[in-house]
Amino acid sequence: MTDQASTNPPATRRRRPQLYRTLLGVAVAALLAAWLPFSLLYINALTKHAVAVATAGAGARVVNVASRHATHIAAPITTRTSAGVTLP
Amino acid sequence: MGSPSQQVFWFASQALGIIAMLLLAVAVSLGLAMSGRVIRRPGLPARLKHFHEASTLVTLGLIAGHGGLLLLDGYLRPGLAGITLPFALSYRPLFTGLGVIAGWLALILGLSFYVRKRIGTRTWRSLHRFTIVVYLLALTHAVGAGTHGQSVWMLALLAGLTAPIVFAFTYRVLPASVAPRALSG
Repeated sequence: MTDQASTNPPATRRRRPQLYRTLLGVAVAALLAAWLPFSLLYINALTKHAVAVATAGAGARVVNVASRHATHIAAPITTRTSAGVTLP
Repeated sequence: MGSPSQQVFWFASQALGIIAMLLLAVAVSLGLAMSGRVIRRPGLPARLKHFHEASTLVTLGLIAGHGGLLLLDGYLRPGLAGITLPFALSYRPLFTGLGVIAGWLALILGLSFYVRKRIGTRTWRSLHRFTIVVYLLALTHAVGAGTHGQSVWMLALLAGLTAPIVFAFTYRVLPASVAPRALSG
């Protein structure tokens, strides 16, 4: 009992720094890990945006040739599409 | 709108949501594994306990970041009520509402560990059992509210995260005499 009483406080004191170290490690790992989905989502959106702009541009050129107008302003993209799901 | 650079906060929120889901699954799996005594190596549970606690706290931070970053999204504009009150957001209200409930439940159940002496260990244990509900709500939220929720990669990720939880939960609820036989056979 005496032994336990003398060993418990250092054990408790030791627990906190260990926990903080683990906490810090997990937090840093989680934030670093978040870069992966963020980058993928961003690159995916960039690709889709580029395709949408190119398609709109091609459509506009067809319209221009057909109507023989010199200029045409493509309609802005007003929806946010991600993996085929359009956001409001 | 439409330019990806204008959606940075939206993507960041999604990314934090995905990592929060991942870490929540890890925390729940570890909790179930420890309580069900799936892991028996001496000395390991103490270290796992630290990891369980740390992953829970980081998950809570990620959930806060997941909701908080939406406040900065100029397109969705959820407002403080939209991210804190269930079913207040106009965007997929059912699934975002379930996500908000999951967030609050995670906060209450997660932090109840630090008041377990005040509320009583038995009460805390009873409360802690509802953590699985948090996971199920979060899972439903991820599939229903996430813009990538029904993508193959997301479904595969969620299935991969859920499988160990189903295993550990089954092992936990099985009677002690059945569990070892079920594992070996």
